[in-house]
This record gives sequence, structure tokens and C-alpha cells, in this order.
Amino acid sequence: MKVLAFNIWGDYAHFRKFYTTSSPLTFSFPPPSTIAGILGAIYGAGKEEYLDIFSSQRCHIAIKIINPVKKIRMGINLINTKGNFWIPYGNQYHEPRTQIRTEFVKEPSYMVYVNHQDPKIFDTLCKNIKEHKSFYTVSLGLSELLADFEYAGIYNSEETLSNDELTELCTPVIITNLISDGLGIEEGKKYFKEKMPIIMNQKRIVGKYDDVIFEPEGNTIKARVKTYHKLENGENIVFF
Amino acid sequence: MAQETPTAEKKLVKNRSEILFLYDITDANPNGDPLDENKPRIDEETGINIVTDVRLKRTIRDYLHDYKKLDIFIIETKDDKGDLRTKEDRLGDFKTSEDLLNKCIDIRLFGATTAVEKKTMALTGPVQFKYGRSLHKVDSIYIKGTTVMPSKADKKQGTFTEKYMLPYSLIAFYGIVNENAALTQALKLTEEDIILMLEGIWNGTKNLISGSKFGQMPRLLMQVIYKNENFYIGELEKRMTLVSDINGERIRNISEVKIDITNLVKSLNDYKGKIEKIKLKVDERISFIKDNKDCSIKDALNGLSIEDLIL
Repeated sequence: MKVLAFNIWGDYAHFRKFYTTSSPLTFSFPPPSTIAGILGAIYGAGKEEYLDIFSSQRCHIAIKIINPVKKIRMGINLINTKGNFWIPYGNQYHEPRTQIRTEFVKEPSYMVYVNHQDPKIFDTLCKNIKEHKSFYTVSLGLSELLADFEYAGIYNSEETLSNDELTELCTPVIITNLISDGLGIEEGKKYFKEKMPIIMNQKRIVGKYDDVIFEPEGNTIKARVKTYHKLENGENIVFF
Repeated sequence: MAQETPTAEKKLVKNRSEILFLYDITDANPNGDPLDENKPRIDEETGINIVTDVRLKRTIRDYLHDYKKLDIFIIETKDDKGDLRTKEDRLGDFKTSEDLLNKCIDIRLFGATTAVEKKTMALTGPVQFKYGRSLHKVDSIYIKGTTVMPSKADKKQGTFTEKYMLPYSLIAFYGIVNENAALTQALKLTEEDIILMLEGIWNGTKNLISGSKFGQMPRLLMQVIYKNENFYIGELEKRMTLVSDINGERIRNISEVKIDITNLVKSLNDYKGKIEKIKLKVDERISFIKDNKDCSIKDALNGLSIEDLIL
């Protein structure tokens, strides 16, 4: 199948971890549902439909970390919107504003790999990225964290089933895709694990959470996985 | 009271555009971090000064409200006694969500992730700005002062005050106006709204006369308007660099720096066919260079369709 690869980067990114509310932390890279939103922005799918159009049944998504993950924290001034409306004055229970220290990924840069079953959607996506067109404004997690993107290539890929050998993978790997004892630990590399939503439906209900293993400096990981895709440029990727 | 405008100008925004804004600040604090003693925000790794998007939006909102007398939703309103008005009072100003949208220019520009009770809406702003960043490393200084008036009745003396400020910072903001976000959410964002916003960026920055913001000067404002559907160049602010003989932290004046626009001009020329026009306002004290030669930005953009922004 054909896989579109494009680079996406920005000054900062914030992909909020679902279990952090008042002290928001960020994932090191966007989960599949966030990437679906980015694809939706470029393609022209609104908030009500992008999770359907780019759902895991119809669309394969993988990501490669390019810039080593650096995280920083900044104080953000938030307004009180308890009860879904803005209250610009304080009372005995709350202040009108609250300051929240928020974690950001600094100088994020990723390579996104995507395949879509619907050739029409896939072609529009490829065309828009090639011509640097985007229907909505593309950002990395929050609306003010504007991102830029650049076409990298369209590659033929081959689905490869495990042959019980360690494969050099350039993308994060979901733990359930690993064969037991499947990680080939190498010296000089770091191995991180983050639990993230893998499947999310249009109502924002998460269908599946899973642990994802990745190398935060953007290096490859050697692993025995159930399936992976071999791209014609020599890279091996694993879809979420 | 809202200004009367000829109906001919009420054209909906139909084109993508990018905004580039340069301003500088002298002996003041462009944007304090409330969780860090209100110090100016500085990226510790690079020494670059950061200003949040909401600071710029606040500047625009305050200008449009205070000087242009326009309705702004995200604003503190006070009653005759000077007390902040309650939600119910503020609610009474707007009858329906549509009324809110028609009246409040800031919702049309920047959206509203939440709104008032029973008028809940989640609108993404067609206009988005990135965090502003200084084009050079900045120095930060700590100033100790005294107050002359004691804080309590029985005290004999005033107290010490402290604040942090930047001797100088030249900051670049970048933003995108997305016509689709306005059209698909039925936000009636007009060309006039954008002009008012640009006016707010320029004049609002200059007119912020408070202790921490006095000393701000707008230097360059550019809106690149595209004709091709959905196309834009992207990251215009990264296509300029600051050139100076002086170390970044020691810069104290706009006359000590030049802005190299070689890459910016090249990109704009590369995509000349896709650009409808460029609206431009330049302060006379900023200097530009292109291909290592002094130039005026207007001459450098010769061949593109340039329109003066009259704000």
C-alpha cells in the first residue's frame, strides 16, 4: 500500500496527558487521535467528523520523532469557566483567574506516515501537503501552537509479518504489538513508555489505551513485533 | 458605541492571509509570567524572550474596546460604582448567541472556547497567533523601588517594591487568518474586522501606557493575502534574522539593529503568483538589509502588489 510521509514541526507543542488536569503534562509526541485532527485540518474535516474520517479502521497512522524530545514548563493565566461560562469576577469560592504551570514540548519535529483506504481522501491529503495547502490552520495540540509542514514522499510499503528477528523500527511501538521479550535493548539509547489513547471515537470516547515504547532522542528501536511495514526508502514503521 | 461604516465594506473574509508583526519594548516587561514573580518570559536555553498569544490578543481587545468603543466579549466590565459587573448583568447585554457573535468582534476574530450560561459555544478562532519571540537574546534586570504611601493606616513608612524588566526586546509575532474556520462556523468575519484588528495590533501596542508596557513601539506590520485556495507560505517570522554588531543582550535601541529580509523576500517572490497583495506598514526607524545591502522593505518587495496600511 502507499504511505504518505510528511514532516511537521513548530516552536512548541502540548498534547495533554489525559490523567493530568490542573497541572497539565504533555505526551512526547501526538497520539493517533491528535494526528487525526491534524490530518483533518489539512484535508478539511471539521471537529465533528475528523475522528470518523481518520479512524483506525480507515486510516493507518505512524509517527517518527525527529527532534529529541525536550520538555519545558510555562505559566499560563487561565480564566474561570466553571459551569461552561466565563465568570470575570471573584467570589468567596474562586478567583476570576488562575495560573497554571503547563508543560510543553520544545522545538517539536515529527515525521507523520499515513495511509487512507479511500483513494479520494488519500489523494486530496497528498495534494494539499505537496502544495502546502491546508483547509484549517494546523497546530500542535493547542490552537496557538501553530505548526508548519512539508511533504517528504509517497512510498510503497509492504506489510511484513514477524519472523522472530529483531527489526530496526523508526517509530514508537505499541506494547501489544510486541512479541513477549521482544525489545532488543541497545547501549546508548533511552527507552521511554507512555500510556496514551490509541482508539477514540467521534464522541471523544476512548476505545483503547495502550503503552507505547519510544526512543526520545529520535533513534531507532530494535524489536520483535507482530507486524510492521517496510517502506521502499528502507525505513521500517509500525502503525498505531 | 460602534462606529458607522459604509455597508460596502462589510465583505466577508474569503482569502487566507498571514500576519507578521514586529515591535520592540524598552525598559519594560512585555509579558510577565504570573507563576514566576511576574518576570518576563525567557527561554532559559536560548535567552529568547517569549510573549504569549493572549497578551497580543488582550492588546487588540483593549484597544478596540477603549478607543474604538466596540463590543468585546472577553473584557471586565464595571458598573457605575466601579465594581466588576456580574455574569447576569453581562448576560443581559446580549440576547442570543447570534447577538453575541454579531456584536462582539473578538469572538469573530479569536473564537470562544466557552461562553455564557445557556449560550454555550465552542468556536475556534479564524485568527490564530503563535507566541511572539524576540529576534535576539535578551537581558533581564531587577529593579528595587520604594512606595511613598504606607499600605496600612498605622504604618509609618511605605514599603519596598520590586520588578523585573527587559532593557530591550525586539519581538516578532506571526499569525494566520483562516477563512474556512470563519465560513464553516458561520462566524461573519469581515474584511473590516481584520483591518480593525490590524489597527489594534499597531495602535494598541503603542497606546499601552501602563507601568509595565510603556515603551512599546510597533515597527513592522505585514499582511500577506493569498489568492489560491488554502495555500499559504508558512512561518514568515522564521524568514527574518536580526543583524547587529552588538551582542544580543546588549542591544538597547532599534537603531543598533538591522533586519535581514533576504529569505522573506525570496519566499514572497517564489510564490508571487499565489499572492494577491501585501498590506504593509513600516515605522521609519527600522532598517532592513537584503543580500548584505541596506534596503527599504518597499523597494525590496518591488514587483509584488503592495498596499499601504493606513491605520
